[in-house]
Amino acid sequence: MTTIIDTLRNAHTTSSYLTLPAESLQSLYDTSYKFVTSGAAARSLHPEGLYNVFELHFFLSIITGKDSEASAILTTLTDRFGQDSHRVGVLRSIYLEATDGPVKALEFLSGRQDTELGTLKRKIVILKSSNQTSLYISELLKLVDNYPSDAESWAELASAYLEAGMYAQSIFALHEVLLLVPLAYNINALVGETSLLYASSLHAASSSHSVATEERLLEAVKFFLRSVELCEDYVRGWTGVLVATNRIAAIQKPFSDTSKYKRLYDVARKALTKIVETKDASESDLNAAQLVLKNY
Amino acid sequence: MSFISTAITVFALLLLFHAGYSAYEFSHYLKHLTVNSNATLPIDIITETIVATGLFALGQVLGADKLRPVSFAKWAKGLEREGKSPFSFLERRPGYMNVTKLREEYASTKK
Repeated sequence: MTTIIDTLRNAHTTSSYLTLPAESLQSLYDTSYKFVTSGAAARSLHPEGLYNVFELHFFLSIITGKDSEASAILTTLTDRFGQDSHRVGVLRSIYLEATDGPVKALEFLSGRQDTELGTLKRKIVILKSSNQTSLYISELLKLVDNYPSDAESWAELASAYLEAGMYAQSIFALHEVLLLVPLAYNINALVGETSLLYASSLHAASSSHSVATEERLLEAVKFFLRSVELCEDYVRGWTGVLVATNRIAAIQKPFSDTSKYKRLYDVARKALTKIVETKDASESDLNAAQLVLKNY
Repeated sequence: MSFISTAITVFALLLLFHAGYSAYEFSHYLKHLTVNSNATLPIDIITETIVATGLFALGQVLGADKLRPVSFAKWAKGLEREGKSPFSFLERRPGYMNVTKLREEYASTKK
């Protein structure tokens, strides 16, 4: 029982249902369905944990297309917390968006309070699905203007800029995320990855090697190193260090002293080899590490 | 808590109780006999108390949960391996979930 609770609680806090493959999603849904409908949830959880599991069950139902199940759990939550609850409102709008389409959802959202952050986010997401990137970005900018301390919105803005190929802006938004969540090693690695992409685009634009390209590469190394400093044996960070230092080593006439990056390359290679040999990471990470070791 | 640590803790508590009771008995005995009222607590009661305290501490330490890393980097590594990173929400962004797309993806893989 405790492992079931642990699995569900973990899925809720990390929102893993957003990235899981279909089969794992199906099995997670089965687990939560059994747990919620058998009444075991109500018996073994405190209210807060219980309603978190209910929320998770709602998301799993709606993603896997069990609309009647989603409607039932939504009714339970509405009965408990009322129509005015912020979180219930968000769930209701997601339900409407999935079953009746974005127009109905937008209609519902316009009737809600304008001070609810979740409601504002849902309104913006509906714009995203209509493929208006510039409008999407300007709406997100308005939102972070009003709620500058919401890291999630800054991260979403960064990803929108990245999709639009605006790397400098994307990196700026990620820096804002790091100001709010300084220990987020994954965001540090993401800054590094975005810097690498930025360097590539600069390089492609100005056939020859430029100061700007080199600066982006050096910055990428800096952020990848920060990520492995924050999270020991972080495969994503070490692979980033390896790729970035490899590209720095390939520069014919560097503008700055790049000798220490050659040493960093060796350090990264050693760290990754050790991780692969001792199998000290998740399976997908190990595969990624092997691939990068082979190619760089 | 394992069986050994529980056993040691219970034994230590019994010992401590016994030492305390002995000390009480001793003071009682002094009152009644009124001989040498300057007498201090016998060495065996003191020893028993110290040993009992030590054993109690040992029992508690043995029964402690698995130690968790103090360093942030080591702790993060463990969480990362189990897929429990506290920062994953920044890249998954549940507040901005695209429910229509998720449903389509799921439905297409199920067919």
